[in-house]
Amino acid sequence: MKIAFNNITPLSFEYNQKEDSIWGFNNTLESPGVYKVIASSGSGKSTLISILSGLRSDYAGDIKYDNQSILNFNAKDWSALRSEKISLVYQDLRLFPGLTVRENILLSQDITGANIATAMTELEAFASIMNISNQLDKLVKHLSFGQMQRVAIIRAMMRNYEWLILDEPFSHLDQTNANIAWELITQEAKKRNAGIIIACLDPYEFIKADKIFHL
Amino acid sequence: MRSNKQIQKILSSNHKPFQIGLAIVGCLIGFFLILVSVQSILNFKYLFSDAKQGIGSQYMVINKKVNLFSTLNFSKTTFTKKEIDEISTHPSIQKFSAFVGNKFEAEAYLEMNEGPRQARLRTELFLESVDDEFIDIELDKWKWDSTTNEIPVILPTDFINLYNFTYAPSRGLPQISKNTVKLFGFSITIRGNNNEKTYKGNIIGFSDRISSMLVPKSFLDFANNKYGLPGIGSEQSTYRIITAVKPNELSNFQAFLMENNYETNQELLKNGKFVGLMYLFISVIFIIGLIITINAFTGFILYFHLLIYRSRNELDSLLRLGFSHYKLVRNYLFRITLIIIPLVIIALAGLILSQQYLAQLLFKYNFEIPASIHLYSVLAMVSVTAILVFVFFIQIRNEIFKIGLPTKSRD
Repeated sequence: MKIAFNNITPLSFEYNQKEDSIWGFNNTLESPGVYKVIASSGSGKSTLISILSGLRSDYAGDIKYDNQSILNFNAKDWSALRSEKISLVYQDLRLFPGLTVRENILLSQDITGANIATAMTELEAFASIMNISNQLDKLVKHLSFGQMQRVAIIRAMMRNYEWLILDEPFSHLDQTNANIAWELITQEAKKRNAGIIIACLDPYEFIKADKIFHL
Repeated sequence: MRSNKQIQKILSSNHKPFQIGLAIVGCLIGFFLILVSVQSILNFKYLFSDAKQGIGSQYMVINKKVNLFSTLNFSKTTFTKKEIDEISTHPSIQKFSAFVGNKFEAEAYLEMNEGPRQARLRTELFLESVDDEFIDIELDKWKWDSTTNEIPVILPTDFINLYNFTYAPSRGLPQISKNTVKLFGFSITIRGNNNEKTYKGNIIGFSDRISSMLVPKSFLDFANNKYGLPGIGSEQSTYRIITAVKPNELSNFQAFLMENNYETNQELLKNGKFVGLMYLFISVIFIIGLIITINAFTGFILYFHLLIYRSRNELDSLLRLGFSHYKLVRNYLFRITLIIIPLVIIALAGLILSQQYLAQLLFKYNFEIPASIHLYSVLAMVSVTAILVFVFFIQIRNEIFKIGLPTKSRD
């Protein structure tokens, strides 16, 4: 699936026009491919992610998913896009603190239509790789933010998607865990032939991107 | 769907049902009042429609008011054909008949033998007839046989009461029973159009309904035709009309009578007022029930608005995962259904019990109503509930569609 940015510009803040920015230019992102968006605080990373996932409308220009303009999307279209085409890790993670790690991750398996036994096996494998196997039956509210980030990453990977969109997914992970997570993410995306958009403050040199944008 | 259970868990963290305890109690009271009022109307309709209960149709004799103008012959007290048509086709009327009066001279003679003395009482008569369906005695003797010399006669009950309790005591005469009167033979002589004939009058009963001396319609038609005097009314002259009015329409019919300046028995009109007041009272109960229910539902809607507001973050997260807005709306609809259905069942159970109690109570007073509740009561309850749940659905849907969408997609 292609994501086309057509002269998209935020309306809620002033942005710096840079040559390799997404703001104000026409860009097409194709899957599979890795796109890194590096930006300092307040330059619009989360705004961009919110626009991509249909949470904001304070922008000019247009974004098209496979030639379908999001300007014409209704609630049903957004639900379909979110449940089938894009999977996100939000900066604030959007986990449910009252549920266990396992419940949080399996919550959306009804949407994906996955076999529960297969999903459990996959979950335990991912949890093991990400070093949170012993946290699966704990309530999310009792985890550290770094552990929560890993839960959010696993949840995103276990959903249906053609694009993985990650907003500062490693901000609270050490270098080792960030590397492990990134390797798993790229493997899973490759299996699904999916694209990755990762927005981050740091350049994260270990992330090899097909294209880098600066906001 | 295992996600439903987890969604329920996520959204239940802010759900505190005791906060709507008052709305739940109010809703139950409102439901019960609605059911009671609908069932009461159906009970009354049953009572009024069942002839065995003795409160079926109300019979009214209608005439125009006699005033100075009619006395001076400036205005007529006869009904025109248009007026008769208007009365006979009035929606409150079940049955209708015009009185036919005698258009000939009629006299009654009673021969009394008291020992050696003989007395002959004589009085002029007026005779009337109505359709047989208005006669309130057994009809087997109410037939005129033109080959005999006898005429069946019905006297008003008031007539013998006046005699027994007013005339007889004042004159020191013996009181007489209805059965004794029936044994009296009296002669009726009718005269007119150069003809005269004497018949034997047979009193076959007494009418509580009609205050007139009644003879069979077939006889009066025959006699008017043969003995009718020219100039005493025409064929169309109708001074009095008898109607059977639907009991629940008495107040409507009363309004019609007043509008047209017609007269009838005021006691019956009081019944009409009572029936009207009773329906008004039941309607007020229904409206109060509906208001209480609407208020309770408004309480529910406000509570769920608050619940959605408190759960806004969780709802937003679920929508970001790709759950549809309608799935979340259904979740709230399921919750309100869990509250409402037990209330409907309790209210219906209360109605069933109270209907059984009322049926037993009324049976002691010789009234009969069904011991079970009417299907319409259940349908009324279901309809009110469905409408309110639909309003709830619209309200909640609008609120949830404000979440997790860019402004222009909130439709």
